[in-house]
Amino acid sequence: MGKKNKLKAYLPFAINVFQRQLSYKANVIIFLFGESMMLAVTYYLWRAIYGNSPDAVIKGFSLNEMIIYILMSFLTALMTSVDISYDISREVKDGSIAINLVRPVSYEKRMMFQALGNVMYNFLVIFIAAFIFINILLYSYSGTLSISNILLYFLSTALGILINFYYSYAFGLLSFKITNMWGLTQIMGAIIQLLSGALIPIAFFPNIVQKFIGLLPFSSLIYTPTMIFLGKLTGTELVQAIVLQLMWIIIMAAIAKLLWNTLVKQLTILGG
Amino acid sequence: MIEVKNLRKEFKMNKKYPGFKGAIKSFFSTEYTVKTAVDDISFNIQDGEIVGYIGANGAGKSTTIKMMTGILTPTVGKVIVNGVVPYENRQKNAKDIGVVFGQKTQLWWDLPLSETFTLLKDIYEVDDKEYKERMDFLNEVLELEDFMLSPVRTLSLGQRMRGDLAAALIHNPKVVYLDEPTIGLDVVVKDNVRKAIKKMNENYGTTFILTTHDLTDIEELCNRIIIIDNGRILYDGGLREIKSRFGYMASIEIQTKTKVDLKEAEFIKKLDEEYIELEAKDSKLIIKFNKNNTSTTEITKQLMGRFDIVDFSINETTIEDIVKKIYKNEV
Amino acid sequence: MRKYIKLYKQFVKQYIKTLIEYRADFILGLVGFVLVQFVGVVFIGLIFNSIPELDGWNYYEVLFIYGLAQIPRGIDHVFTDNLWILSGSIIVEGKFDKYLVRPLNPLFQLIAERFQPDGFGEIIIGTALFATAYAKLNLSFGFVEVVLLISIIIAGSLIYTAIKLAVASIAFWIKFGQSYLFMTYQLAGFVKYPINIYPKAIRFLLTFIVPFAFTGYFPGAYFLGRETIWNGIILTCLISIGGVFVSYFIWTKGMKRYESSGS
Repeated sequence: MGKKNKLKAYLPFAINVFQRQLSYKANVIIFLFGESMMLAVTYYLWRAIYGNSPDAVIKGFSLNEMIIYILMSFLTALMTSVDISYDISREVKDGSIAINLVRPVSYEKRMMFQALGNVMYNFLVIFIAAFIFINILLYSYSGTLSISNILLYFLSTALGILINFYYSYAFGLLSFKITNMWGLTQIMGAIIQLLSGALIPIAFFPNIVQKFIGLLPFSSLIYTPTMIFLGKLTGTELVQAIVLQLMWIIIMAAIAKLLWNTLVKQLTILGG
Repeated sequence: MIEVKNLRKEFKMNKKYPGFKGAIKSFFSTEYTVKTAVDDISFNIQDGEIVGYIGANGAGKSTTIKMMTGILTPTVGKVIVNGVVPYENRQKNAKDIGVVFGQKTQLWWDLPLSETFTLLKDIYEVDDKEYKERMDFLNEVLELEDFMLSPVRTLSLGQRMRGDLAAALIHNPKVVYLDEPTIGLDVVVKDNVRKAIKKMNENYGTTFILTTHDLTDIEELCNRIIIIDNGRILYDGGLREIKSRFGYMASIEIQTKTKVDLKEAEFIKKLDEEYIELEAKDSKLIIKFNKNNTSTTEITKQLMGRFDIVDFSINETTIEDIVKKIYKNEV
Repeated sequence: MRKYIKLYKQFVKQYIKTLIEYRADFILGLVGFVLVQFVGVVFIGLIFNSIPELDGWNYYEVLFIYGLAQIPRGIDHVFTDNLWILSGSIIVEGKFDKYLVRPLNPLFQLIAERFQPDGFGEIIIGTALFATAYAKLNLSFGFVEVVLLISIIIAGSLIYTAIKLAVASIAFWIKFGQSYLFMTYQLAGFVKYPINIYPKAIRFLLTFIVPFAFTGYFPGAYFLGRETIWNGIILTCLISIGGVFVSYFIWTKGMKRYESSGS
């Protein structure tokens, strides 16, 4: 069997998730409405902040850039925060994960395609329209659009999706050791919120903290793509940021593999 | 004890339209269709009776039970339980009743069973002496001890059902409503449950009303059954009476030495011009007949002379057959 | 009433037993919620590195309001979390019937059924912020202020509960209302900050329609000398009482509907 055919076997997992998501559309609309309220809070807050600032530019961001940042980081998060850990921890808990050891499909690939189904759904239903809107907004502010920034943004977001996949996958596998995944999910959620740039640009942190955040994978998820879109990462900085993203993919994938091997050992010894 | 008078319940159902647009349309639309779930039902139940309330799915059983327990308000008619109108004075009524919905537990999911009973003791204000007495009794018949300390969510279906039944009986209610109390249970647990119901009825004079699809429940427990179909009562009476009223269909099966020729048996039909059916399979002859028009003795007497009979059996109609016939509108 | 208090104590006693049994889970959940709240505080801190004040409010004043708003939110979270279940699948799955066949108020049964210790995360952070801001702003509360503070915390919690109950009760009509409750809950995000930064329409919404502004902003502003006692305290208490009545009325209407439709 060729590689291409092999991947084809996993496609139904992605399509399945996509269709399931589609059937919840009424809930999605209301959910989005709720989220857009959070965006409104952030928007007015930043307007007030800029209104009170003696400078028109704060930490390198003008108000217009900040508005684009808020919208774009939200949209990027939608793509790079797809959570599959819940599915995994549920399968670990009810023991159905053991069945996957006798199936002729790779569990990792299956999960990847399920995540892909979610990503595709978010992309088609929300991302495209919102992305066009943001670009129009940006054009109205600055009068230009950079094709290279947009293309690099897509590249960086794709890498972010992969980092998130392996992170979420590894996190989900942890549930065979940890019983209260819900509490841990809250904790990790808060950390990601703060350190990924979803809440506030990392440039707002003190320098020393910025260096520390640079050592962690979270800023590769949201901050890097968004800053690339805004054209705030160029030259060597840009290359560095993308190399860092690639590195994190490798590290996260290795951690995930390690965890999986431990889990398989556990399953075969203890019988689930 | 329980008085049900001209009870009627109609449900208004919003007209549904398909699709997303349809959902919006239904949301604003005020059109509806009326479905009558219970249609002019009346009966009285005396103290200490065990009544089986049966009918096909959607016949109106649950709706009636819900009105008797106070969950639903009737459209027309009245229910009085212990002198209280349940849906008007729900909490007062609730003090004297016990309810078990077979498929849904009423126990607190995270608490151990033992704690459930402590809470119920306070909710129903059962005094210590009575509580102990009742607890000992329930422990004995339902064998709760083994899983008394486990949280409810970890119990098996059978254990949970026993727990639910005990929880419904702990305050010595005057009336207990059981909706499918034996559904999904294995034979041993079913037996346990039935034993508890019987003993509770004998020792405390508790009135039971139970709906079930398992007619063994009815045969073992009930002295009276009410059959409902399409919201109307088809039958209300004793178990024996239903057999004499509907159980007139019987059959005789004879085994002969040689192959049976149907023509040789045709003469039997003279006994009842209206209804006698014959069936032959190799050396077996089956005669179906109506007991109201002819008798078993008459038929066998006639057959004895003509056939070389090896074996012989008479099948009375079971309650199950009767109920099936009633559901299918064959009576 | 005494029976209810006694029963509620019983319930809480049981929950505390389970908490002790699963204390690792409990602590993890608590840390999670503290952290979620803490992130919001870091955000405010980072912003005030760049600006001296926010539409007339200095850093500690903003923290004061933020902290004050979290306390009633946490209290409500601890005690009435089960209302989320009402707005979820409980009616569709027919699990509501069980509350109607016990000799207790159904709303009491529903609320007492769950005790959510995660809410302590909000209470802890809220109290810590409030205390810090109180010290830094050199406030000094006398006996009267303490009494007022306690009453508006109770009132604020009741406002949260009332809004939650009113929106959760929608489930009696539409069966599955969790997304509406989620949406309403998101609205509470607005009142973490002084509401004069928002346009009139949003302020109107938060004051008169879904009165979250009274759970933190108005009373907080009163203690900081920016609002009258009428707006900050009296109106807060009146709205909480009114809110409880209105939401209980909606709940009763919903119950009536349930009684006649059975689903």
